[in-house]
Amino acid sequence: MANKSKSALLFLLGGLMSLASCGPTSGVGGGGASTSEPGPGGNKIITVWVHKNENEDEGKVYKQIQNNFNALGLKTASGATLRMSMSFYGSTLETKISGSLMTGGLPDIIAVDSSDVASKVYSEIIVPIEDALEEGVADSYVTSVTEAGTIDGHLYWLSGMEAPGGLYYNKTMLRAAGYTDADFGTLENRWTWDDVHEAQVRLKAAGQPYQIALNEGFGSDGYMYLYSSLVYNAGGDFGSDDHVEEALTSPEALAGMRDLEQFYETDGLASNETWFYNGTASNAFTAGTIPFQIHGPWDARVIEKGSSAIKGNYGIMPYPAHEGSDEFSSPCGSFGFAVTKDSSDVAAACQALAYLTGGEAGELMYNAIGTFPTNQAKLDSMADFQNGVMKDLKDYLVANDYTRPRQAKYPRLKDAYGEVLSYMRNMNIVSNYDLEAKVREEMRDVDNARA
Amino acid sequence: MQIESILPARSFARFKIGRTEYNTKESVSGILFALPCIVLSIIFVFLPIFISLMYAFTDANMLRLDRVTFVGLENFARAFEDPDIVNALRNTAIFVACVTPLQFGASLGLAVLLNRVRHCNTFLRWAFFIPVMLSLAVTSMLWMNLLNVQEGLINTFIEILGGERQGFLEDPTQALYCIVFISAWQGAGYQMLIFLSALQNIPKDLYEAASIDQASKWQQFIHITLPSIKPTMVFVLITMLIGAFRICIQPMVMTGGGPLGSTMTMSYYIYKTGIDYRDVGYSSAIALLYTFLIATVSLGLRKLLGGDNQK
Repeated sequence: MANKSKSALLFLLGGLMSLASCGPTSGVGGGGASTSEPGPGGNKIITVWVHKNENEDEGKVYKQIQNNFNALGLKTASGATLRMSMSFYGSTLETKISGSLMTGGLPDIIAVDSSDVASKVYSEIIVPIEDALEEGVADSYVTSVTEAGTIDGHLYWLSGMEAPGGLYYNKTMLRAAGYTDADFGTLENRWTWDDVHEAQVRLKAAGQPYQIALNEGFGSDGYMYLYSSLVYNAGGDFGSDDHVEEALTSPEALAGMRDLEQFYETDGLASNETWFYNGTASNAFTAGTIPFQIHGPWDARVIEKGSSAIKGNYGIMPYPAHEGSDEFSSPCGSFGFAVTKDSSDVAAACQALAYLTGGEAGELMYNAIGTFPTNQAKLDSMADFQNGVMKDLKDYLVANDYTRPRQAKYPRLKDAYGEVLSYMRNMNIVSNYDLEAKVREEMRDVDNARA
Repeated sequence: MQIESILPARSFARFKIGRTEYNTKESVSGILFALPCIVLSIIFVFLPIFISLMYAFTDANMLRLDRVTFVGLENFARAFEDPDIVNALRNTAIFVACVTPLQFGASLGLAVLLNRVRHCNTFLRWAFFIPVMLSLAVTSMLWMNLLNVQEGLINTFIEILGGERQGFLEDPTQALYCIVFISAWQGAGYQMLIFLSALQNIPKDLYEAASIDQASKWQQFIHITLPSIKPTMVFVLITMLIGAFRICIQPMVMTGGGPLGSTMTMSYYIYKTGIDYRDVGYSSAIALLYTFLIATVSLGLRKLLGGDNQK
């Protein structure tokens, strides 16, 4: 009995100790959230919570950015040495932020997805930064970043990386169908979605592969990343919180969405054929299996840095236009950073934020994970962006005036929009296909939901 | 260190509750053994349920948990008007109605089979149990590849056999049934072991007596096997039913609730509302309503099947 009791006590102690050890992920310089008060000539620590694990490539870059920043020996207005301390929370960052709202103690800076800025503003978690940033800093970013970071006329968020996308095409296959290099779309003379489909018809007639990978497999985030441009390019928009039904049932928005319908239709195909690529191979384009795909910059990097079969025989056209419209929106959006309401020194936090999202950080990130820098001077000076497909993508990024919808209900909106596009994809299965009715139904739910 | 040295001597007296006499020392020891479990249950089960109950009457948002407003029964009223809940409930009901008999039949059938098979018995047990040990996310990914429309192995075989490619997970009319099949395949091995254990506890002389009376194998199964394992069957049925009501991971990984909401289940909808949409108040209200529904069905079924009275 005594032994049993001893075992019970040990088990109990072990259980309690394991519970006690369940603390937050430790970060560089500790996971603490508070900002230390600077003494005269002392250190001012700016705390940052990052959405990546420090073992991931992106996390490693953040760690390097922190070390580089700390080596600079920057001073705050009060003369204290400014230092950055990062905590890496990975996918649990959101939970950590929610918990900290109850207990207090948000860090100075948090990572925020571009599409989530409005939610964080609406919840009063992040604060405007335009007045605390040094002069000219905000103007050094590409428009898509400052657009994404601006809510109700105030700048809240900046990012050092962007993910421009476009229409990847296989030159060899298109040439075999009678196209010449002069036929391929450019920013000045973009292909429309109808042009893309026409090319598919010509490719098929020439006995070439003809499918396009629409890459909807990203889920609703991917739908919004790759296909919010459908609406913008046709002159439509996503409205504002509580008014998305009205915006997305406008003739322009609906016409934009309908650009995609032709790829789900089955005209001119056998029963087991589709115009869109529906396979499992994520490298169908880079392996030279299909002639088209809509995608972000990552595959260009894979092809350029690797030994892809199509290296030198592919290009990236601008995101297809809507027939008769000059609007240009291109896939974009990425994680960035914002200063929280709990920061005791917004000016110092903005100094750190500007470095965290500046040209040097953007270049480090490009080298590590392939996202594009958002600093215009860096885009103009880096050798990779001076010619070839990377220059094309850079040009699309700079020319892009749009960003993903900025709404507090974005998570619901992206799901609803994804549902609409999924409905379109299943147009041959659903009964009484009616796109407008579906848009109305889905968007009404968004309008009626709580922000 | 002896336990006596840390507890006062009078702790070891005997005491009575009703007609039962207890030894204090043994009771303390028992409580200490149960304490970690109790503590963990309080932290991870009862406390969240209590917090969820409180949030259900508020407009709590994941990003504004410091600013919560009491909204009375608004969340519950909203739940009764939400068309997405109707869809999720319908999908869940179809899933439960299909997966329960399928998985129950498969597990019982496999158990009966393994109870008779003498060769490769251990290998077969392992083979049928392996899917249970695999992560739901891993098996979901595996099946996603197998069921792919364009390049999946199953569609390739169908085409070789002269059939037409099927949409499977991408077809709103097929996706839910694919998930039913995959769930039954993955879960049946666990219940099979429980049934096998119950089958092996049935006295052999019952079957010998039945054989002497010239009862057929089918008659033996109906009149000896099934009545003998009825308590096990009730237990398996109820746990299976509760598990089926909680289906979440497979649609989350394989279809994201689509296509066109055809695989959106209640548990996944609760998760999505609370985590993705951050509407903690509403999510808590639905979760409470759904818990009440599951409890009612489970208790009703238990009463109906008389599981309490079977020893």
